[in-house]
Amino acid sequence: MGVKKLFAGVAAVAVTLSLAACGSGTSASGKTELNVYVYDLETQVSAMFKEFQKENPDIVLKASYMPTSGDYAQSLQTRIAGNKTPDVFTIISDNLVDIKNNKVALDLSGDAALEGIPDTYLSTFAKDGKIYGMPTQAWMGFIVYNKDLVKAAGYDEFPTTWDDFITMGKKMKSNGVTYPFLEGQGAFSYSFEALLGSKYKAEGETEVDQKIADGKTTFAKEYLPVLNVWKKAIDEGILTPDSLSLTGDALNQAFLSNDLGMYTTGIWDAPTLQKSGMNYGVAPFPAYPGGEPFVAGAVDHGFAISAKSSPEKQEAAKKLLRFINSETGLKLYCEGNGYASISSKYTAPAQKGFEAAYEATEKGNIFWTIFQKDPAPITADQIAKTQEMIQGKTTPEELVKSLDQKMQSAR
Amino acid sequence: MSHTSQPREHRHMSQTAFNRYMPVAFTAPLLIVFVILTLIPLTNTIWYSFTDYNGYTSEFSFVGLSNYVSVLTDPSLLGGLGFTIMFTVASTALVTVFAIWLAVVLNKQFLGRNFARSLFFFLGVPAQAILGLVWQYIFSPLKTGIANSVLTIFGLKPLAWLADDNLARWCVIIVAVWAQVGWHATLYLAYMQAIPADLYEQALVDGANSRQRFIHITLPQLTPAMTVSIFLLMNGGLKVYDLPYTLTQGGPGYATNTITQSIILRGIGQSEYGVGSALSVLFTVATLIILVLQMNISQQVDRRFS
Repeated sequence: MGVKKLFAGVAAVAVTLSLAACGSGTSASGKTELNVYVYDLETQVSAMFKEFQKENPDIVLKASYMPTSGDYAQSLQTRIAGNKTPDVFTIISDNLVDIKNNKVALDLSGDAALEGIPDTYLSTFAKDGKIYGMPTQAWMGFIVYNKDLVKAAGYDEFPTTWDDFITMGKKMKSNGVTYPFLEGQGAFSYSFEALLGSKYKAEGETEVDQKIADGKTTFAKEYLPVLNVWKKAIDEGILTPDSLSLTGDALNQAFLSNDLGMYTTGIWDAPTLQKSGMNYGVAPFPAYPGGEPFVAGAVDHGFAISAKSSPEKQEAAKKLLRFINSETGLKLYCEGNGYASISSKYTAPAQKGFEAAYEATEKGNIFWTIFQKDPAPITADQIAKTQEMIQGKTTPEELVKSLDQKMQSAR
Repeated sequence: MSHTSQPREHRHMSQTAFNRYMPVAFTAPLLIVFVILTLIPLTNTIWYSFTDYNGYTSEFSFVGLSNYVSVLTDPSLLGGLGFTIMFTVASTALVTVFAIWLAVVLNKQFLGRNFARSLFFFLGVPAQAILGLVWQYIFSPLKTGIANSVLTIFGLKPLAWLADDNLARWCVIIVAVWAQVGWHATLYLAYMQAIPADLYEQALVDGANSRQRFIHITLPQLTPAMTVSIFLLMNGGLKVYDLPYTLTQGGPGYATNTITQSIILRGIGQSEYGVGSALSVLFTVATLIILVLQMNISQQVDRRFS
């Protein structure tokens, strides 16, 4: 009897706890609680969320943050698999295809939240006439260089072609610069993506990612010429295997210590560089033969609303999205992370010293691949195989063959 | 007599029932936790390993053994298995050797002994993920990296520590050994202090030197500690994830990819719960076999020296 009572007690506690965990999310004060999970640093969005709370006292934001893409995609998927999808979350390139295919997010098409965002950017988050994400910004990856070292190599202006870039790197090396150019493991590989974009534009190619996914073309056809051009930097010792284990922070520190001539980064390094007092310059990546210089980058993550949230929460979430895509929201967001706005409701001023990257973006010279099938495994394979290529363990031909095989077997 | 026998019998029966059910009552909470946190997820994992579940939708179908075929034919997953085994064997062997050596040293009388004991023990206190991030700076391939600065002082060329496959693998192992040796030395030290002093005194009388005393007394007396230590090291080594992930992110290429990393990345990161689950099932079975073998060997060694 005692044992039965004990089991009954434990079961009752377990049931009570599980029911408590499945609460409606409406707080005791009658306010609507929104669970928000974003691919941002808290410091980048806190001012925007605070202002939203001020303007919408009837909505309480319970926000959590994860600024690294792989960890964000994994943790979000775990929440979705556990039926704990946040009411508002962000769609990033790692989970874009899965979110669209599995209808995890609410269709936002026709909602006022999307006003002022060009269709070209919305199309990234669209499938079968439905739009699952609201992008508001674009991110850019570019080259930061030491002006003194570039000048010492005989260049008053930063080179605009890849071949000239390699020649300059060799001159830097002969001038005693140990590391003319490095790309960090977390920024891998902006220079290749920029070359790819430069080639596509020169050849008038559009929507190549989709064509590869549809089997209309192959990585062998599209990537191989660019890989062969890009690899010259490896063969000439300008891009070395040292890049493979360096974080963005390590590169930034090496650059500020004058150990490094050029490195790839994004606008997130602007505050550190601006405060450093170094004589640095910013440039888009030199062009593919016959093309124009490009920056690496794309439309940034899109805000999405859970399709499984209650109508009350979905309405509150729409209010949040409309606020983010408002002049006030965008201003606070762009000030928080330094990114460029893509919405017509607000134009973020270019960061001082980084104008060259903004100009390339405004010209449409910005590119980043988004694999349209199985993006996470194909991206992982691309990174690993490219690292092996830099080590001299694999060839461009083997790399594209592997990617084509992955794409053919993709879901 | 009859007046008192009934209550006594009743008390006896109550005592018997108490003895019978109380162990069940005390283990029940643990059993419930085990069922909820281990048995149910394990059953789910086995079921998912035969499906194409992707973690985003509850609609999935049975795919037979195709996930197992995928696991056994994927070179990146097999590479992960290779490094996991290398890591487990190398780190277990090195930690065992260095921990016993350290325990012998720390068991001697010297100035600052307690401080030295604390120092080595605390090496293993920070999370391995934190250690990975710190050692990433130490093993920077740049000339200014700490390890390379030391090499330069001795007139040696800088090494591409984490950018070379073999060096990266050994870097992960070295950091793991560095982090674990103090904790395991403490374990050996505890067992060492329980060795009867008269054994050493008798050996001294018989003229045994320090090497002979170590081989014929200390080592055999430490076999129970070795059983525990090696079990923990192998168990932790086979499951290793955080250290290589933060130190090398599995690279360069797939050089330091581990099985647990593959399970997490493939299953969750790449939305292939089915493949990740198949890998988990195979890994659980393999781990079970290895640990049973290790326990059997340890018990035989234990019996030999007891």
